[in-house]
Amino acid sequence: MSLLRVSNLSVVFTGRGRPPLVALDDVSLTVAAGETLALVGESGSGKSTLALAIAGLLDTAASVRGQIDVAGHGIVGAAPTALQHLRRGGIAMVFQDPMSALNPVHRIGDQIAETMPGSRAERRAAASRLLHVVGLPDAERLLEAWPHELSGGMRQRVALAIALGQEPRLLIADEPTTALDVTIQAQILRLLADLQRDLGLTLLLVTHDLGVVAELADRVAVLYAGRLVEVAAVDALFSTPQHPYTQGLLAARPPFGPDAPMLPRLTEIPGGLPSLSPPPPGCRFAERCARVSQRCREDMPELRASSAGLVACHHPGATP
Amino acid sequence: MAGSPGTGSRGLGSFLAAAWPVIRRRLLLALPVLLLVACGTFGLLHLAPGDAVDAMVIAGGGGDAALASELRARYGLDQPLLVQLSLYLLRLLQFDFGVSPVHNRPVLALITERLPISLLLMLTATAFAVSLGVVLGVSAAAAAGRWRDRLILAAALVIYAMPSFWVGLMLILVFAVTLGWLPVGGFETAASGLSGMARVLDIARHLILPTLALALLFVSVHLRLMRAGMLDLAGADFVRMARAKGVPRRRVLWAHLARNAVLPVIAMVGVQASTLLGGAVVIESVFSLPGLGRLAYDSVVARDLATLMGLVVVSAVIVLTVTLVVDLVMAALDPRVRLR
Repeated sequence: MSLLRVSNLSVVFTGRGRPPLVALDDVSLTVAAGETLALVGESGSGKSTLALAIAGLLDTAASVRGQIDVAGHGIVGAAPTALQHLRRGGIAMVFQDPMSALNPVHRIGDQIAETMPGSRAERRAAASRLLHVVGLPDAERLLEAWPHELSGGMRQRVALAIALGQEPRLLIADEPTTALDVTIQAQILRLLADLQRDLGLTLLLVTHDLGVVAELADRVAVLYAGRLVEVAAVDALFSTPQHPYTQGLLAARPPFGPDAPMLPRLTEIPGGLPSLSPPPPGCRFAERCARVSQRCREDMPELRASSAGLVACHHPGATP
Repeated sequence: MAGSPGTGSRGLGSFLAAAWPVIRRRLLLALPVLLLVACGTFGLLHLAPGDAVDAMVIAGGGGDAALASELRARYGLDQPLLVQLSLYLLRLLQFDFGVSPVHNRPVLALITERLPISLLLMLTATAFAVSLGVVLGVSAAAAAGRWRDRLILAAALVIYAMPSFWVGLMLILVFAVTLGWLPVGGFETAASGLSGMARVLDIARHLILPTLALALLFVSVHLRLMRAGMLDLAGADFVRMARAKGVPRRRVLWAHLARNAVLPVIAMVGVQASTLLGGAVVIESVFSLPGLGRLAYDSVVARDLATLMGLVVVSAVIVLTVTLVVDLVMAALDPRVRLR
């Protein structure tokens, strides 16, 4: 049974004096309960917008169409009080930059306990427990600490503790390791994997790091210029990518292993993201694609079943 | 950095205990500053022609040269400047501000009986300016770009463009003269025999208009700082985090956003301490409040250098104290601020 269902979601940002920007265009996907879905794409592909839309955190400058269902509750157009209900036992979110995700003038303990139910002592005990869960010993002292006294990795663990304090079914992690040191990244990823398994969380992981994807995800959704281009199980995506963009992404990874050259020449995808205000009529990837045909420039490919999953391409298939 | 998190304990007592060495050091540092101020003012005031004896003689419609020189000798005004300065500084170190030749009373007494009025006015005006600036700033930021925001900004600009003495006069005209709701001036009703709560209320009634006139000088600045701070922080991750964990909208606005955006406003109060004092001088004159401002004005007219010197030194003390208090408040409100 799917816990999260996104149907035909479009998000357009309108600003005064600027043409509207189509950040997401007709995106549909489902995530089953207990599953980890990785949302992959380059900067500007719309992956953070999608995460914020699902969490009901887009600001008022965004006009949203389509449907988002989390555990049977609609998110799009929901009243603030209805969303408020989903913050407890529903959706929680962890952000990219742990340095700015905590309020600098509130103590750690107060931030964790802020929206918890119960008496002061109960909430304090719960906050202390949560700090242990996210692998921070000496909780009693940390509860009284200020955010600036903690390292980046500790702050990200605190952010996780805050999210877990909401007892969520769906945890959205928006690039949770991007701003951290490499050694800390591995620790946080391990922690996420453990929590996901132990608590039965459904995890939506937003990232541009394919190494993170390979480690944590069950399925992968690839976003390009506001549209989904490929959705597949993680093994299938890595072994037999169908969309030329996915293939380009995978080819751009530095090679690794005993046979890899010391200073490999990285393959890049030529060109850059198209303008999204307004977006081009045909396939968004057409200008950068080696397989481009006249049809690609005029006719937008829809997401269709392929050998490995779903792909939006007129000329899908293995690398020629 | 991550050395000893959680060391800060709660409560005002422990905060002041931790801040005490800093307070003591800042007070010691204030001494040389005050000496410099005293020397500088002494030099500047003696560059202006004429002294108190000249003013008295002129006020008396001309007079006797012998009497003038006798008076000068009595107040030490015939000594060389450097001798006068050294003597003055020596007495200053013993909290002796000298005797006013015009009032024929100790300068310190003249100042201390007027100081509470000025301090009270500065305090009420600051409290009102900060509260109004914060409320209007939050209100404008919450409606950024919409009509309420524009209205508040336009009003702030108009207020900012009006000189405070004119605002004071207009307030008197409307609320005291035309409507008759509030007194025209003064600190309390003369010879009213009021005491206790009745007297406090009487003084409060007298302070409403001067407080308003002085506060309006600062409201626009506080409001704009507050609004800019709110909008700056609105996109911060910790605000999203607060919304994501289900903090109600109003609490996000005040406990998370405003709580952070108010810090630059508090810092601004410290920067504007001297402007506040200068503004108080003007407003006291407009509302005939018997505070330091009136005393300063009268002393300038009467060439009462002894009183003027005392006033300048006391003003320096006030500005230094306000700055120290603001620093302490900043440290109490922002855990990232280290007192040094």
